Amino acid sequence: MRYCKHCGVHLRGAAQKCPLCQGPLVGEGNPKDAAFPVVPEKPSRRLLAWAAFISIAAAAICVTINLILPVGGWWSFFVLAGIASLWISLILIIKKRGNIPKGILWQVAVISLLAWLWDFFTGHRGWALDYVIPILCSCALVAMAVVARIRRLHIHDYILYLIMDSILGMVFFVLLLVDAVNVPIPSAICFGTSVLFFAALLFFEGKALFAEIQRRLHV
Amino acid sequence: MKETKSWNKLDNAAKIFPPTTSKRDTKVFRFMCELTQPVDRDSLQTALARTLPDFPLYRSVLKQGLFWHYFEQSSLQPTVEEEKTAVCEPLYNPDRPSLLFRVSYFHTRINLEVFHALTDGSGAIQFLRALVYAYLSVVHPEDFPEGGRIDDYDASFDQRQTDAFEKYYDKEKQIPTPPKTKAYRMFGEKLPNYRVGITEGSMPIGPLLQKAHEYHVTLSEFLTAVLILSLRDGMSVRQQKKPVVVTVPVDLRRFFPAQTARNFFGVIQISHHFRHDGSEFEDILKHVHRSFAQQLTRENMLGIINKYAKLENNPFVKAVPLALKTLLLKIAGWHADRQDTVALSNIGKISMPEPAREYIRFFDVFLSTKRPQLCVCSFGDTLTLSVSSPFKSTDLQRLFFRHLSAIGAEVQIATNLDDQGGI
Repeated sequence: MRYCKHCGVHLRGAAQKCPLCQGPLVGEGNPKDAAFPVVPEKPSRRLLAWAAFISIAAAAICVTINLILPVGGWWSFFVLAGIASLWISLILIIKKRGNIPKGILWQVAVISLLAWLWDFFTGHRGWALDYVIPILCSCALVAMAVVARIRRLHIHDYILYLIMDSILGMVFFVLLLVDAVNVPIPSAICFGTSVLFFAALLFFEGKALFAEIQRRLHV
Repeated sequence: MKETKSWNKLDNAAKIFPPTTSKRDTKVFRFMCELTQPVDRDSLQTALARTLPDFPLYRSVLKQGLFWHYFEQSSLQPTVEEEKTAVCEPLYNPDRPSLLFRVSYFHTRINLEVFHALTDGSGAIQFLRALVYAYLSVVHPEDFPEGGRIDDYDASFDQRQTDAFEKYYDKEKQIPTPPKTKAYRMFGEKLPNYRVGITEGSMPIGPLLQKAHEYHVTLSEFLTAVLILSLRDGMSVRQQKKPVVVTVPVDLRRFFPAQTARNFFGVIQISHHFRHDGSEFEDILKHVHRSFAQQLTRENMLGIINKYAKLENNPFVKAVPLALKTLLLKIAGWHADRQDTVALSNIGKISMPEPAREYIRFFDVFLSTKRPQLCVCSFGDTLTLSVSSPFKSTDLQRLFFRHLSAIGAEVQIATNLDDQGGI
C-alpha cells in the first residue's frame, strides 16, 4: 500500500500522487486494490449538436437572403417558425421517450396548438380544426392502444393519458354542434372513436380508472 | 397484470426531495459494504431477490399526481451490475419511471444506492444489512445454518411503511424558529460532468474515541469540531466574518420509538462564529458540545417534527398544484442552501450478526451533494469517514485527514479522485 509522508495516510489502489496534497508517494501500489472503477467521461451528443447547428445555419442563410432580397415579403419568418416548431416537438419526443403514452399525449397537445397557431397566422382558413387536430386525436388513441399492447404496459401506465385524449376528442361533438368546424367527417370520426375508447375504458377498466384518478388527485 | 397497483404517499421529509433533485444534486446516497472476498454477481442477484420481499416499498416507482408525488408499486425487476458509472448517478427521472435504488458491486464491494425520497440512512442500512447477510448465506451456506434472513429487524410491514412524522405530529407543541443567518459558503471549480468526489478514510476507531473521551465529548461532537477547525484553516480573514454552519441530520428513531423503513430524520444546525465563539480547537469543541446539548433534546426534536408536519398539513399548501409546489420547493431549497457550509451525518455503529462478521471488512456511506459533506459510520473496530464534495480542490479533505493523523489515527484513504484517469 502506498503512503503519503506529508499527510500521514495510506492510500489504496495505484495512485501516482496523493489525492489530498498532490505530493509524491512511497511504497508499492496495487491496482487491484482500487475502491472505485475508472469512469470515462461521457461522450458529448454529436448528432444533436449537428442537428442544432444545421438548423441555425439554415435559419441564418434564409434570413440573410431575405434581408438582401426583400421582395416577396418576410418569408424567412416562416422558415424560423417552422424550425422552432420542429424543435419543440423533437425536444418533447426526446424528453418523454421513457414514457411513450405520455409522450404521445404531449405531442397531441403541442402539435394541435402549433397547427392552430400556424392556421391562425396564415389566413385562418380553419384547416387545423377541420383536419389536423381531429385526425391527430384519433390517431393518438389508436397509437396509445397499439403501444400499450406491444410493450405490454400495465393498464395504470397509460389509462390516464388515453382518457385525457378521448375527452379531448369528445370536445369535437360540441364544436360540430356550434358549427365551429367546416368539414364534419374528421371531427365526427374523432368523436366516435373517442366515445368508443371512453366507454371501453369505463366499462372494462373502471376500477383501474377510479384508482388512478384517486391516486393522482390525493391531497 | 390486471390487479390494481397499490400506492403510497410520500412521507413528510421525502416530499422535499423530488422537486429539489438536479443533475448536480441527485439526492442519491450510497451505502457500501466491503467484504473480505470478491463479490459474485449471480449470488448477489439471488440475495437481492430474497431480500426484496421484506422491503415492499423498494419495488416502487415515483409518479406525479396533481398535488403530490406518490409511490406506485412496480413490476420492474432490479438487476445487479458491476459498477461502471460515476457514484450516485440520478435515479429519479420524472419522464422515465424507474426503481429508486440500484445494487452494484466492484471487486470486494457491494454498493446500494438509494434515492432519498424512498428512505433515509437508517432505513437503507437495514436493507443493505439484509442484502449482505443474504449474500453471505448464499456464498457460505455452511456458516448460516439458520438461513439467510437477518432476524433482528423486528417490524411488521405496516410498521415499516408508516409515516412516523404523522404519528408524532402534535399541532400544539411548536418551537420558535431560530433566526436564519447567511453562512460561509465554499466555492471553487467543480468537477466535470456533475461528478462528486469521494474521499473515504477508514481507520481503527480506538485513537479517535479515546481522544473524544479525553475531552468528555461524543465522537460526533469531536468530528464536528475537527471539521470546523479544518474549515477555519482554509478560510481567509474576511470570510471569517460569516459563521460556519454544520448541518447535522438526526435520526429521530433515537428519540421516538418508530420502526419505519422510510424517512424519519430532522436536522439541527451547529453554527460557529470564529470571531465571537473563539477560533482555537478547545473553544470550538466547547461551543460545539454546548450546541449539540441544547438542540439534541426530545422537545426540540418534537418541535422539528411539528414544524415540518404543520406546513404539510396546511390546507392551502395541500391545494397548490404540484407544478407550482415544485417551483416553490426549489426556491426554498436554494434559499436553504445559503444557510450552511458543510454537513455531517453520523450513521453510527452498524452491527451484523455473528456468522456474517468475519466476512466483512467495513461499511461506508456517502452521497451526492452541492457542498462538502462528511459521513460517518463504524463497523466493529473500523471507523469510516467519507468526505463527498463537488469541488476539484481537496483542501478541506487534506486539512481534515491531516488533523486526524496528527492525533494518531492510522488513516487509509480510498478515492474516486485519483489520477489514473476518470475525473
